[in-house]
Amino acid sequence: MLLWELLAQWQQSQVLPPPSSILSSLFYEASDGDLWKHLWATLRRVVICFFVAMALGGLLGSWMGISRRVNAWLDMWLIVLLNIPALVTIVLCYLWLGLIEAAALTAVIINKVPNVAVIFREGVRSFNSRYRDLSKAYRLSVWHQFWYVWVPQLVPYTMAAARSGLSLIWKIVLVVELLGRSEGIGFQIHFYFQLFDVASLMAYSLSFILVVQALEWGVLQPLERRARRWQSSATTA
Amino acid sequence: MLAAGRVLRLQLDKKSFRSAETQKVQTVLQNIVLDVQDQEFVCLFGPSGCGKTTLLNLIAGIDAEFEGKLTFGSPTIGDGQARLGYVFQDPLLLPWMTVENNIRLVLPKSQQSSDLPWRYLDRMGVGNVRKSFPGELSLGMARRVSLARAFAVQPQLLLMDEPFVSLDQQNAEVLRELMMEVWLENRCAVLLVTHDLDEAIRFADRIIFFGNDPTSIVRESLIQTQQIERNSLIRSEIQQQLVERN
Repeated sequence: MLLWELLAQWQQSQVLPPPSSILSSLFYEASDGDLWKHLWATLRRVVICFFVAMALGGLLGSWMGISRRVNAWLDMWLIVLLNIPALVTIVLCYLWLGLIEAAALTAVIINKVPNVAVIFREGVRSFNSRYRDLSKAYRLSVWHQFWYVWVPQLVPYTMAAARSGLSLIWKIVLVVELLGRSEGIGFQIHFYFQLFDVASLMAYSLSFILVVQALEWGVLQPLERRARRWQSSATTA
Repeated sequence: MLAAGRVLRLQLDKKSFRSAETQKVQTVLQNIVLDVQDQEFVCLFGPSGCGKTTLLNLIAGIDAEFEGKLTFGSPTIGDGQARLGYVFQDPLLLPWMTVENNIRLVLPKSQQSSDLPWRYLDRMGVGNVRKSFPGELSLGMARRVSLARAFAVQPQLLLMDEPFVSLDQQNAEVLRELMMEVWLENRCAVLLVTHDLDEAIRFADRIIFFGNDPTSIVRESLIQTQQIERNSLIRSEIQQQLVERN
């Protein structure tokens, strides 16, 4: 950071602002600018897309993991969807649905669902069949099997999907905002790009990186620690 | 409907498997009729790999694909199923749950608030690990928990698949004693699979010998002497009689 600061101060280049001016730009946008409005717009989109994509992808992937026939039907489509560039989906959604919020959200969700589905499919395929024997022998209800036997086996896969999901989704949301929305971090980045104001551009990027980092430390990691409690206790024994 | 006092009747015409590699169908079990009375301890004795575990899995409902008929005596718990306890060859505890929750998971609703299950845990000498995770237990301790879990559901029929295998001799001996004590206090019908004749003689009211290919019942032997009286001397006498009768 210090090296960057010194280098930038010495170069006085417009494309490489020193960290100090990025920070001051961040403080300015937070206190007098529209930072909160745009941050909220992006965060809202990320949260909606995250939960919808996780739910849809989770269901789809689990279904494909359970049923060979469903897998045979959908496997090809999954691969096609996985390989369509995010940009193509976004542009097509805007063209077909119009420049509306629903199009933006749909585009992000379509980009993320196949990713989640692939991870969940692997999760279901790796189920330990011995636990199924146990459930049957002891006549566990479907609900007990689902909640106490299946879900815990999916936890590591859910965490992997959530991690990769969060990072992928917020990057795509920015592109969606840049191409067809009038608020959000992506829109602001586009705006400052046109003004060639690199410090503000980086300030906005930084603001959302901080949000994602806070989600990682404040939500994902505590959740994961809780879910993996049994593993850590086994290793300390 | 089964006759009063009968817990199980299995009429197995044929059980086959299709080999995943060659797609050839192979019959493993054939023409087996098995009746179990309430409070009866039945040992299924036969060489390893003859299909004894397959037979237990059919009875447990884990594997429903066979030709024949399986009937449980009343009272049944919906769908004509009986309440079963199953001690698998490996302890098969869910690693993400504490010992307590592993047992709670399989308890019927009526016993959720009872302290009886925890008495079985104490009885098996593992009352102190109630809050531990299975990963923290030794194999011997996990086996004890697995036995306690099976007794805790107050089964009409208790299935045990070589529950003392792969334990060291001393540990296995202690656990055999404990299991016998607990069973004598809470008699239920038991089907125990073993390939150790001395073990079968020690526990069984009736020993069923399996053999042939495909596997079927070769013969049955009743043992009249009470289980508690069967010291090592008496056991070797019984063993001799069994061998002579063969």
